[in-house]
Amino acid sequence: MRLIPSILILSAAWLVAQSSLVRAEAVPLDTNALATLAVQDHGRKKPFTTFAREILLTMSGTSSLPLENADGTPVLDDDKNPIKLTPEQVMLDLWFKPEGWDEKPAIMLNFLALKKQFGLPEDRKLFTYKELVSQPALMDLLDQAQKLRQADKVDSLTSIQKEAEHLGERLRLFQDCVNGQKQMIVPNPTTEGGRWSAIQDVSANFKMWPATKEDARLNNGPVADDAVQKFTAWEGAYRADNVAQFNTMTPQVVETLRLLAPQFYPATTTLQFEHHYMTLHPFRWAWIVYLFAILALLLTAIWARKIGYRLTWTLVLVGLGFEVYGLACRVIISGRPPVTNMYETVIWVSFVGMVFASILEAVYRKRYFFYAGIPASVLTLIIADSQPTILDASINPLTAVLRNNMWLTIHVLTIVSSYAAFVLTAALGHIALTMSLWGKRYAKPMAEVQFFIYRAMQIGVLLLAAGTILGGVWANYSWGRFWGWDPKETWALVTLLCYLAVLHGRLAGWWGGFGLAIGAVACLLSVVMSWYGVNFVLGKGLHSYGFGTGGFSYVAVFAGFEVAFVAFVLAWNRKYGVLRKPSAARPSGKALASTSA
Amino acid sequence: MTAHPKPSPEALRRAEIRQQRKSSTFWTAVYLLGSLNLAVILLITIAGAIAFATIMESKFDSKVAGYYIYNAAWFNFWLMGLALNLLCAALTRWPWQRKHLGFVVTHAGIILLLSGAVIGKTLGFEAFVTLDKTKPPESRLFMRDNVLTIATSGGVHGEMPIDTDLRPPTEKHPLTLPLENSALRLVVDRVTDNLVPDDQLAASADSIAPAGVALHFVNAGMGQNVPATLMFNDDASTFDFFGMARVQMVASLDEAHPIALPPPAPVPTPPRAARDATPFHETQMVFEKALQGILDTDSDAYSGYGFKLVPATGAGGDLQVVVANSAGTSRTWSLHDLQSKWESLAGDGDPVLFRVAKYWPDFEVKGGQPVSLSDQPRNPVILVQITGPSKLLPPAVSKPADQAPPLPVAQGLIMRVALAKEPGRLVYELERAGKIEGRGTVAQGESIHLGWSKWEAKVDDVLAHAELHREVKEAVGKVPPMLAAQTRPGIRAHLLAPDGSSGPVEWIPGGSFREIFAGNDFAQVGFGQRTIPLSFRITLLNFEVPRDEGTDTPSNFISTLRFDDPTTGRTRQDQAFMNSPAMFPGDFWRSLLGWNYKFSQANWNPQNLNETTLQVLYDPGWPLKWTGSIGICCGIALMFYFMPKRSPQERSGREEPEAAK
Repeated sequence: MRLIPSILILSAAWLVAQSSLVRAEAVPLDTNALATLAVQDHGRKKPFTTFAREILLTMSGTSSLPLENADGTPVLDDDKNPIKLTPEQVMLDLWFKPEGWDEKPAIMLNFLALKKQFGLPEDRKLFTYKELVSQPALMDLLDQAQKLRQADKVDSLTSIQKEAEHLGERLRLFQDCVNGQKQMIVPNPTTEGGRWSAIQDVSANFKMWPATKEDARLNNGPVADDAVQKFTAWEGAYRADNVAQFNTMTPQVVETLRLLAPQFYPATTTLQFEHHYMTLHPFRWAWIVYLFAILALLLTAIWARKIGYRLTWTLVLVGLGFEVYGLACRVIISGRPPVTNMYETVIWVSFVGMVFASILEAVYRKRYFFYAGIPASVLTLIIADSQPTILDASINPLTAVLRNNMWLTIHVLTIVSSYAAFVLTAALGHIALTMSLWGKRYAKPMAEVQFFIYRAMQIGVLLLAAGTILGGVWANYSWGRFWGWDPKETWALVTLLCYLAVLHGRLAGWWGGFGLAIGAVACLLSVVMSWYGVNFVLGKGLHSYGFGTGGFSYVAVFAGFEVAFVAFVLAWNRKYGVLRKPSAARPSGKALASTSA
Repeated sequence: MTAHPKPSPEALRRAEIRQQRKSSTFWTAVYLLGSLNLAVILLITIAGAIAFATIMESKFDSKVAGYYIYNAAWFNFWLMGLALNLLCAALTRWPWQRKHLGFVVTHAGIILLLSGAVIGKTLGFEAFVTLDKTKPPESRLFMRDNVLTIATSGGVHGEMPIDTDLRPPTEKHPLTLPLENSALRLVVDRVTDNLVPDDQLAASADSIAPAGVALHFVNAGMGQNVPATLMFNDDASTFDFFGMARVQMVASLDEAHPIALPPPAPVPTPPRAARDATPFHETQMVFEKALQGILDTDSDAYSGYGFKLVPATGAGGDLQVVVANSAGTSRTWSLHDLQSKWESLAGDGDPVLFRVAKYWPDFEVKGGQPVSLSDQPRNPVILVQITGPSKLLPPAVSKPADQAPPLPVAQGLIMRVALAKEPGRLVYELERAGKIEGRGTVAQGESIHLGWSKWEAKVDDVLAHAELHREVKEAVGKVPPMLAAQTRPGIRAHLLAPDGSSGPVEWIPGGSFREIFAGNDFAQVGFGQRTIPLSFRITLLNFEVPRDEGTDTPSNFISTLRFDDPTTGRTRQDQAFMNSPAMFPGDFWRSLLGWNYKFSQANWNPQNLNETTLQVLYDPGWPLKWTGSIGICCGIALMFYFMPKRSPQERSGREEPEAAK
């Protein structure tokens, strides 16, 4: 619980830092206007602001770039605050004023073995283009990796070669931004999904298109010239640090570009809507509100219970509102269900977990579902919010095999919702196990919580069973077989069998409510394995579109903590608590029955 | 269970039934096999085994996991045990009541699902088929496992599975098969994935035999060696140089008019070990707006000097030039100062000198010539000259831009060869994008410079009358990347005669037959993937790969197929795309019951967009699988949420034996 105040302080500090950033600039960049400039990138058209943010995240691993000297110390402004650049500033600088950027630490390298091999300081995360591009060792690694790829031996790439490739991609990204090759802002008037071009290729492209009578409309020479002129003046304003003029010119540049292919250029409202979603951070607001909800609940545990409970309910509903709004935004922007990458599943778990907790709380009204559900939700949302490089929040087109909204919705939403129920189950398990440390003192509430564990586990088992089977039915269509022991489907089955073993073991009298609580916590590890482990650790199988890297140490620490916690509770109870006498393990079953009646 | 004053009449009745069954062996076995204890043990062991299997799969591969766990007899036996346990558990509740509904439906669902899997595995199959738009229709499917097909001289045909993955036959542990109706034994003692073509060209005594040429292509930079054997008027008259060029043998070429190949584009070569005092000359075009200048040098290395054009910090708007060398020394001059005279970084005595030779304040290229549009420094560019003794040049460092693979680009490269008038000589012609670039004659043993990156062709043999022996051999050592695409799997086999003598050893490439001899007897042995003949033909009418906008990432794969069944006269056209298989015969009942071939998109070849690979499923267990699936889901929901409320007594009376006490 000591975590919560520090998180609150951190979030307050973050808000202050955000406001000071704005203050530091005389005339800020008009990001609302910049958002109406569409860029074709990564298989879709997106606002320039989103584009800038995603590029900076990929290149530097951060959503605001701290300006550093070459030795890694921060550059300070007049008030001695470290200067941080927004993604738009970085992108426009690289594009229009690249001078000196090759000597600014802006490229992420966070892989120790590579830093060692390059002889670079191990405590730094950002390096300059110049430092990295001249590394002969990097060239060797890229060469080796390329040879392996040509020989179709992708499996034998070592982790250091893979990381070198990623670094190479980031260097390439830097070069492309500086050369203006990444900023595809000139629309293609031929087809809806046609390839857009960079501004320097505009004239060439517009001359290339056929000038038959029907297509004369397309061969928009004068408009293209106008666009280039407007763009050049716009660039000039930025180079001259005339931000005010740059801001006023932005809409003009967008308009001339739009005129080149008005029928395919995204609507201003669409672009502004996405920008609005990107800047609102609904999921960040959700966890802040949830944080206050759990505080309200904890502070009124003894007195003012009624008011506190109502306040918690209100705050929970507000938080849910933020989550619903955020998810709705993502669905509207992407046009598909919001569960297609690790980031979205983490968000979905927090949301559905909170929904389950609220429903069960509404039925039983014992506070425990909130005590369990809210912290779990806050934790998952903070993870999603704070690890942008591991959990990528960008909205990308779906890989071909997932392109079926019906199956995607049914199968993935069901599976991920079962994870949410299991997270809630495990959170309740922590409460029950913590209570067990005080022995008989909390016997009655503990029995209650144990019954709630059973309730939450039921939801999870039903959803996981249904989701796994639905996955088989989908695979029957998509891959041409119902079941093929693919690691992801196998682990879904392992998880299901684990929970079934816990439930059947209780029926068989192997354990009672206490065993259920232990199982609720221990089985979460199998959920973590099938959710995270298969995609990030095993990295084999047909569900490869979800594969990723990073975060292993965090997850390992979490798993280690859970194992230690369960071991400690078991040892404690063997010595002092419910496990001391074999018969003592059963009363919970009776208490369980009495609560349910 | 002390607080149990009045057992319900139902509990008493059940206790009575239980008591009666105790005398029956059948019911004793049912209660034993249907026990909860057994169920928990089965659940935990199965979960543990398959969890371990996924780790095996990630450490080795899916075949290992399949061999030891998923497809192993013990594991399937275990799953049968689970089904039996479920069945018996359901029986112990007999006679069923309303409260057992969820329980029975769930358990019956799992049993149905498992029996569906067994039926699917025994009566159905999973196979695949690769179709090509430009090739004739296909009427067989391929399985993933390999078989030997044997036809003896006695007319006996047979098929026999061969394990080539986990326990392949080796010289130490060969596979020895006695052949039916024959005294011979077949020995397979090696399996390889690396069979490469080993074409042998031999002079022919037959005067009407066509001409033949043996070449091999060498790439010094990549240490590669690719043989190519060509015959005139034969199916071997064209050699495809990995999709990048074509080599053709033609009747004759214009020998009288040789054309010299244009000099190759400058390729950076490794630096010479020692450098002399001859001066190098380097020019750099430096843009204020670009990070790196454009370099041009008469040497094999760059000076390592870098120039930057920056606006002066003070008033006046003059430009400054920052000069830095690879050792890290740097100095700044005003543009004006550098324009007038040669300067050096270290001052007097420094042999490396530089100057600004030209300055364009408002740079623009007009008609191929650099000009300045105005006197205003809108786009300032300078031309810098650097000179010094060669021995001072730093070793060449490759830049990321040079990382492109050193392969010739597909630009319509064609090489034609023909016999020259003089015996033992060859005429060649090199074409690039429809234009003849070079022509000449060359003798046996000499090399042809091709102008295809670093590739050269060496002439091994020029024969007026030749015969071609198409052989295969196992590639020794590492297969060069260029040849990797051409390697095929294969086995090595020979026959053992009754007297113990063995016949000649033969390599059999995958998908082919070879006749093997031992003495006067022989057998025809084939090796390849098991095939399933179909009663219908599959034609690929079209294959489309739409892409995500602005990228090369496929967004779908769409195969348009036509099925023709000549026996029933049935024809059907259907599309297989992502998440939507094509079906044949495809009527409602057959689809429902699984008596149907389902074609799902499985693979594609980015190099050949006429080709698609489809996974084919024939699964008569399908109706059991889906009814079982529905049963499981509904049953669990019934158990959890739609059960009549039970009193605490009944709840604790779940263990009926205890209640009976």
